[in-house]
Order: sequence, then C-alpha cells, then structure tokens
Amino acid sequence: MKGWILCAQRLVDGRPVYLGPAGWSEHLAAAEIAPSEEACRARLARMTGGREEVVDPVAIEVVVAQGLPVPRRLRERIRALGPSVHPELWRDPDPGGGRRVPL
Amino acid sequence: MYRYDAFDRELVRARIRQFADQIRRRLEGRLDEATFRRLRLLNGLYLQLHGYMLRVPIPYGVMRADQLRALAEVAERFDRGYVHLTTRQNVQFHWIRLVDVPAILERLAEVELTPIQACSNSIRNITSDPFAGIAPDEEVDPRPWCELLRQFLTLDPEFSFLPRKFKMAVIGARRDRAMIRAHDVGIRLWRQEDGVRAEVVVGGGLGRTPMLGQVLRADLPAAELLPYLRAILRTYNRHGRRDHLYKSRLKILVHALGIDRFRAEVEAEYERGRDPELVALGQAELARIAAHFTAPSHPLEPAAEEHSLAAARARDPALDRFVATNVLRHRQPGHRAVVVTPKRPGAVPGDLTAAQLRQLADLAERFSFGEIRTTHAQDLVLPYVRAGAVAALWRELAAAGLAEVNHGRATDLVACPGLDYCSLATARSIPVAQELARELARAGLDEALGELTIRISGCINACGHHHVGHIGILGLEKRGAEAYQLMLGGSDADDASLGTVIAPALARREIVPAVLRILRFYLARRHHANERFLDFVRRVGVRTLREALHAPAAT
Repeated sequence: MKGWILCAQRLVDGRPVYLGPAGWSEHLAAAEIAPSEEACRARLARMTGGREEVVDPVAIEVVVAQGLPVPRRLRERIRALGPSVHPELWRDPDPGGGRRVPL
Repeated sequence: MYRYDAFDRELVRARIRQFADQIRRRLEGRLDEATFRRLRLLNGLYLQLHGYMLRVPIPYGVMRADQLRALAEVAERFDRGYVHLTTRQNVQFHWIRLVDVPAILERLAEVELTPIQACSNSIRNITSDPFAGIAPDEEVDPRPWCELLRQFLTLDPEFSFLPRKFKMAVIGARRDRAMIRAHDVGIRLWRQEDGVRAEVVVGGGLGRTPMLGQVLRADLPAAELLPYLRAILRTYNRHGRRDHLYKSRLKILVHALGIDRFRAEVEAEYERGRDPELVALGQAELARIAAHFTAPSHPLEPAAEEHSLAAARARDPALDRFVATNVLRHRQPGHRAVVVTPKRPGAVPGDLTAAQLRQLADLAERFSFGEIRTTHAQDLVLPYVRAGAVAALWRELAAAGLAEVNHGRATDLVACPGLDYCSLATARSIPVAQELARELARAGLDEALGELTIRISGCINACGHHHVGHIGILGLEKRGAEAYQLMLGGSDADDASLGTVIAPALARREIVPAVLRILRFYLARRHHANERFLDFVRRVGVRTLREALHAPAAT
C-alpha cells in the first residue's frame, strides 16, 4: 500500500521528525499516513499548534510494509535511519515494535 | 602562524554575541525561518539530513595543536565524536544542535577559529598550498598574503551580498598544489628583482558548469592585489547574474562576456579605483602579518639527520615505503614534511575521531612545533619534522592507525559526504569510496598504479571535485535509484583538465567493477611502469577506454 507522510526537521536540533496524531515524533512508525500528497499538506495547514517547532516540512511518499511507512526514496530512508556508513548511529524507526526500514 | 590581536578577538566575539541573539530570537519565534536561514548561513550553519551542520574554515589550511584539541572537544561534547575534513581546507560537524551553537562558537573562538563566511554568497575560506612555507619549489610564502586577503575581505559590507559564493586560492610555488584554476580567482605569486608579482586567474570552478580559470593578468605587482581584487569583485557585483541561481557564479559571467571584455571591465574599474593609500596600508599590514610566519626550524646537523633517516630506511622496508610515499622534501636542510592520510581501506574519507585529533595534536607538538595542515585531498601534513625523527613519528602514527602508505595514490581517494549527510546530494559517495579502497587493497593494486587520483561527488555540486580527478565519479539519482557517472582524464595540478565522461549512468553494483576494469586495462597496456594513469588516458584517448569498459570480456 502506498501513502504519504509529513517529514520536517526540529528547529531546536535539526533532527528529522514525522507528524503523527500526537504531534511531531522522531520515529517513523509514529507517522500518520495520508492517502495523497494533497491530504498531507491539508493536514499541515490544519495544524493549530506545533508548526513553529519545525522547519522545512515536506510530504514524502511511502510504501506501507507491516503497517510501517517506508519512504520510497533512498534519501528519505537515510534521513529516517541515519548515515548508511555509521549504523551505530542509526535511529530506531519503531521503538518497541521491532519493524525495520531496509536501506 | 598568525595569532589574533585584540581587534580580531573582539570582531569574532561581537559576531558570536550577534548570532547568539539571532538564535535566541529564532527559538522564541521572533525571527521567521526564511530570515534566520540567511543569518545562519552567514555563520557557517547549514541544515542537513540529520541535523545542523557547522562548517569551520581552517584559514589556508594551517592549524595549531590547541585548535585540534578544541575541535576534538566540540566533537565529543556537541557532536557524535568526530569531525569531517572537507576538500576546501575546512572541517565540518554534522550533528550540531542549534541551541548548542553559541557555546560551540565560544569554544572555537578561544582558539581563534570562527565560521564567519563559511557559507552563503560570501568570500569563502581562501585556500592554499598545504606545503606553503616549506616547499623547495616555493618562491613566495602565500600564507601572509592569504591572511591579508582574509582580513581585507572579511565582513566588508560591499562584498557581503555577492551574486553567489566566491572561492579563492593563493600559491607561491612553481607547482600548483591548490588547484588555482578551479577557483573563482586563483593567484600565483612569484618573486622578481623589483618585488613580488602575481598572476591572476579568473572564472574557474567545478559544480554544475565546470570550467577552468583563464589568465586575467599575467603579471601584476602583488602590492596592487587589494585594489585589483576589489575591481574584480566590483565587476562581479555589477554584472553577475542575481536572477538565475545556476548562472550566478563568476565563471558564468566570464564565459558570457568573454575573457577580453571581462578584463576590460576589471581594468577600467581598477584604474578608476587606483588607491595608493590602500596599497600602502596593505603593505604595512602584510609586514605586520608576515612577522607571524617565521619559519621554525629544529637545531640540528643536516648531514646527521639525513644519515639517521637513511639508516632507518635501510633497516626497515615498511618505513622505507612510508617515506618514499608520504614524506616530502623540505626547503630547510635536515627537515621533512610528513603527510598523514587517514584513509585505511574502508575508512570514511575525511573523518577523524576526537581521539585521533588529540593524538595528532600530541604528535604535532612533539614533532612539528605544534603545527599541522589540512589539504584539499582530505589529508593532513606535519610540516616541520626533523629527518632523523621521521622513523619515531612513523612508529607513533602506526600505533594510532594513521600510517597508511598511500599519499597521492588510488586509495588516497576523496569523497564528499554525499547522500549519507548532505541535503543536496543525489547519491551516496562514501560507500563507493569505501568499497573501491577495499577492492584496490584486496587486489594489491595501489603501489603498481602509482600516482592516481580518484574523486567522488554525490551530486553535481562537485564537492568531491570529480571533474578534476584522474578518475572522477559523480553520483546521480536515476528513476529512484543511485547511478554513477564515470569520467576520466581530469587533473587539478599544473596540467589542469576536466575529465571526459565514459559511462553516463552505471548502477551502484557496476561502478566499482568498472573502475577496476579500467585500471587493469591501464596496467596491461601502459608503455612502462612510469607512465602515469593520467598520461595513459591522454595518450590512448577516452574512446579506447570506453570500448575497453564495454568490451564483452575483461582485458
């Protein structure tokens, strides 16, 4: 299944974050999946709070695998995980859930 | 080395106070992102894939041990424990938090480092020969000139909003070790009976539209450099394209006008701006600055030093190989310059851990008067080593894992951070560099290949200088997948040239085998062991090499 999620970078530290039902999260698994890019943007436009916490929000295309949104573009998978050359620095996209994002 | 005076210190401190206030107002929501973005770029701060990236210029590549230790401290306290050496004698931190930036800048200012003009449409770090002041072929030490230009061109309001970024390199030797023809302005200094002269080259640059610089003035009294550069910058400010991002660099202007018309514009501006007071001030400042660059030398007996090194080389073949490859002659008798290439096969080109930075600081103090240089090939140079101490230094480097024998060879390869970090990148460059280095090491080809440069960029902006590598690799995104363009025949030296594409889009799994195939073809077909790869490419032509790459069976 394909979908779209909103990714941005947190103002205070620049870390990538994803918009979920409870606001911005560092974890990809928390992202709210929208059916289209337009729906994603509309969701951002409806935000009443939290918009000022982030910069450069962008809708990214994902493929949903086992309920986990996996970005289609390598660039976004690297942004979600961390540099491919430093796996020891990778972020866990799904803490406690165990689902993985393949690079 | 140049040391800040009270004016320099206050200028940097004032800038930190100003930027800290801007950061505070941004965090409080009183500055919008578009406004803040321009301000942070003026202070070396980018936003990349995993966080803020802070670029810290190392002026003309010259560093002190205490600066290395400060970089190590920042890496540990505020980053992920390492720094990245860039291809323009800068260092970068890739995991910076915005809230930490004022504290980081304070710590860097304590050791006279500042990110002012590290980014944005400003005059960037003026780069130079990493062997400045020590190379036997040097006629003029370029470092005082670099520092004079740095001070002249820092925070001048007239040049703070150029059409686009502006890069300069200055050398004072016969050989070009700073790729002056790949800069907006390249300057070569030499000495004549009546004083120092300058050749000024303009309109070079890599990136989207690679061009080699052309001679603007073959012979200028170097004392006139300040007003002459001002004339170049004023001409660029007046005619540079501000309406089109991709046409805004000086090289495009020079190309559009033609070198003759551009020269006429500059010369007319120079005549209008004749400024004897500025020339006199520049010369007085140059004298003040030059006093900082006295050449340190160890008290030694040259013949004894040479004998000691020769005897050590005879005893130990591993040391002999290291000296033959990584140790260079020095203008001072009995001294050597030692190149440290932190590029073991599989290492990330340019990355140094905090521990390595501290080890290098210790070694710089023990062996090289506390001084160390960065190079545009992401290597380091210990510039003042006693010949008789090279063996001891080599043992220390080996113990620290920093005695790789590959300076100027294939595995001394250069790679930008690429898609692993950079928000502009279209493909990864570091993993290609790692795999290539491992395969070259596994095949034992490095020594047989001799002098060979491999340059890898992760996008057309060309931070990995792929156009001027003997072998250049450009990472692209094709239909959602990484693809790599392979080019041959580039050079960043006196015989500067831009590479020619022989394969426009190889898949990730194809690029390393393709390079190895070309290299084996070269080894099989070169006239003799001393025919360099670059000379071979120029002799046989890229058409032959393209056919060799695509031939059905390996040659």
